[in-house]
Amino acid sequence: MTRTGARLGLAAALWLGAAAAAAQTPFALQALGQNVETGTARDTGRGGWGMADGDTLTPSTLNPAALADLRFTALWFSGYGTTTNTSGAVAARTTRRVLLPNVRLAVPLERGRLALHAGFNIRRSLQYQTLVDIASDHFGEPVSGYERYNRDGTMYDVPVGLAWRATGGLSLGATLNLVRGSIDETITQVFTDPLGNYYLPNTRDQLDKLSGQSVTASVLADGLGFVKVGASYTPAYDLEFDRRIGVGGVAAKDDERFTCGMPAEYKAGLLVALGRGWRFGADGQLMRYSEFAGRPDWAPSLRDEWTVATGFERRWSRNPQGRGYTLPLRCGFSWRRWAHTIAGEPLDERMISIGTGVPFRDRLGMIDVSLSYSWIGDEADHGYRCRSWRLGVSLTGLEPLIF
Amino acid sequence: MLTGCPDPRPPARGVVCALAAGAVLLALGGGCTSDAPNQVGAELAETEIDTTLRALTEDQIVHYGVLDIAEAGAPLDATEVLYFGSNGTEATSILANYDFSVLAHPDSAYLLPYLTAENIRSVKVDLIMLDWYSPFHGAATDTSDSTYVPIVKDWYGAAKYYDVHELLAPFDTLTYPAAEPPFATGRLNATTELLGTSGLIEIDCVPDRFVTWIAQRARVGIIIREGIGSQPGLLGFASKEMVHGGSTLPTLNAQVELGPALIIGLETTPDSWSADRQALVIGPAADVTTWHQIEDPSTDPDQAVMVRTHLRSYPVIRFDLGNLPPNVRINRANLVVVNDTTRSIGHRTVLTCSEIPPEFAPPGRTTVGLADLEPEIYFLYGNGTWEPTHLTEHELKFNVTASIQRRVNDAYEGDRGFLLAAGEYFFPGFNSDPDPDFWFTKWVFFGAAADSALRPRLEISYTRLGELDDAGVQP
Repeated sequence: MTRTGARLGLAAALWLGAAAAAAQTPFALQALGQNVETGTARDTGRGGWGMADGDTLTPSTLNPAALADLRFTALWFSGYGTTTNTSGAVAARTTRRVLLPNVRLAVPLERGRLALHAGFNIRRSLQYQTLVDIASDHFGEPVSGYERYNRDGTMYDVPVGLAWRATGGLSLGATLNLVRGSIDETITQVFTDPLGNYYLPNTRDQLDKLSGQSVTASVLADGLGFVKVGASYTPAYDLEFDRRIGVGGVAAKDDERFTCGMPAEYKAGLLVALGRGWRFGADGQLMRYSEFAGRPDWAPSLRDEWTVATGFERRWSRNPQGRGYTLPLRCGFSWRRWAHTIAGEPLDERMISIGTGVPFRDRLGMIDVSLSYSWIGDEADHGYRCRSWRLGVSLTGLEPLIF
Repeated sequence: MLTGCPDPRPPARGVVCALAAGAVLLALGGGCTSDAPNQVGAELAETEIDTTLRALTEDQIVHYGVLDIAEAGAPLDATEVLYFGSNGTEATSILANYDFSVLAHPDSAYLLPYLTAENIRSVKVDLIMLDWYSPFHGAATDTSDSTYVPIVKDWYGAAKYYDVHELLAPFDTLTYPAAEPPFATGRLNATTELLGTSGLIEIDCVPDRFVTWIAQRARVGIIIREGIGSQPGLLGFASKEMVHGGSTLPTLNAQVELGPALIIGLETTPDSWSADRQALVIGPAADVTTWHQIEDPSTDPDQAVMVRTHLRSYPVIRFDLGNLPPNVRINRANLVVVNDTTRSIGHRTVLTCSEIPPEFAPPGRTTVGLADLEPEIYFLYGNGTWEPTHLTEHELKFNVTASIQRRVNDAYEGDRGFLLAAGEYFFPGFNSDPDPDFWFTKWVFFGAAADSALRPRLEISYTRLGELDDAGVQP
């Protein structure tokens, strides 16, 4: 096997092994769960913005049009470890998880002008698990046990697209997103009688397999001097739900198929060069989940999801004397309103973050890290409040492989 | 537009580093743990199970048949226990044939000078009581022994009177169970009340008649009957076919012959005998239990449901499941029968419940062989701790959960009923002592006409999901 073949094989294995993103909050138990789209750790460290960030070596993956300037084949891995504490009136729980929600490969077909990219990007996560004790009377005797509720699943897309620098100051992107995912909701009930004998347990499993495809058009205008702007638009599309409901031990299964209407998504960003390597950026995102169709059970709680992300970044640079480097510094803040309410109240997620990075030798890639702290929910309004620490790591590798 | 640094010098190592670090990240991901789930967020879950542990009782019997088990090659007289006494609807005596013509054999010639009226000092009929019975036979109840539930009405303190009569003719073993054969009115024994706690019952007889039989080289039969004044109870004695030893039979110092043996005491013994041998022991040529009074299994489930061992009779019941919704999860299903302790007798017995096609046991009584029964059944449940005369444990539950779930899932072509049977040899793990052909035990359960708490029924706990109401079976 050639060296390039070995690398690609390892990349494929990692791609297939990419862990499902796991939400860390009970608020993900409803509707389409939690938006976990993070971009790279570089994006996260500066607050999550990146729509207007173009770069010939390590551009943000948030805006596909920004990949047009690539001069080398690039491979991104973005993952994070997170610990979340959820507290409520009667109990608290701490959850920890490491996951790899974002992998992207971009290959310049024409150096600095045309690039092909593909990847794997987890957009939403619905994972959480609860357990409560249950007790009742049955045939005149007390029955005790517990009920475990497990919601698991993700919604991810596999983007395949082209980025093209149309003019000196304008790049365009077109991406086809193969949207896939699953929502697996399992209720397990275990009962014992007073003598400790078990009843056969109940398992109700509802598995929704999601499939659809969307397109994203994106643009990056970086010929405006010290200001760059970027935007993307993903029109509304259909999302097929292939559902199977079953109860353990029962031969009959309920199969149904229905179509939901995913709303359009708008993203826009701004980048301002402040001098001495410092930059300011801001992104906005809007997805009109209030127009989501096909799930009347979700409809009462669905709201438009929006995100505002802003922050500063000092870029990596070589000292003028040629000795040493200036490390990147990043900080930012974001505010996201979730796509559904909890107890009728809007649910907000706020995050502050910092970050930095280290280039590989000869700048053939970067290791970026971010540390963020998030607040989700309010105990008075939502019954729970979540506090989350997240350490993100992104690796960007470059290879002078050009087709 | 170039916004980065000058071109790097190939070959590059960036991708390799990224891949390696990504692999490390994935490996780390497997090691993270969280707090165990708890009630945090439980009220936010939006899906639920419609009905959980719904209780349903089905007590409508739509099919009932009785299987009488007959084993070719194992007739009643080949069983190992001879039953004696009476208890409620059961009464039985012991028959034994003796063939004194064996004394005409040349090998016995040396004995003949000693078998004279002058030299025969005594004649006894020996019965060897099985260990199970002897501790309670005429003995006080040991209430401190928790291993035995006091069996008050069956054999505790069952003082028995034994009457031995000469049969008018030797009996035919193959005709039993049947009425007692004709016998001479006069008793052969002088004393009738015998309690004994050793397990060996010795009935003293007047030797005259036996001397005559010996002289005639006769083939004769005797009947050992329960005498007037006996207390209720069935007692079991070793037949000549007894093959069990150990804890089944008492340890006897005297030379014994299994089955009702004649012990002929001699004044003078042959020189070839040892000095401590004082009697000639003659075993029976045949022995059998009459079972001249025996309750027939009811073929009407309203009256009773009977399971009987030794004279094996097993019921087959099928209940109507019309009230059970389709496509439900069966969490537990018990076939419940309530023991009528005023009618049940016998020992702790393994009871089993199996699926069986109801047409195998049509209404009424059907005689089948074990070999025919075995392939028709599917074992569900067995229990070896129940006792027919237990003072408090009257409600017996057979776990038939899997069977009811199969019915719900339409796993069968045709119907299935439930066979209640003893632990026959083909039930794995349930053919241990006591063998079902060994003890006579009769379970009588209340019938369907009894009070709702007493009648046979299925107690079903199920869980229902509305989405499955119209669902089909899918792969």
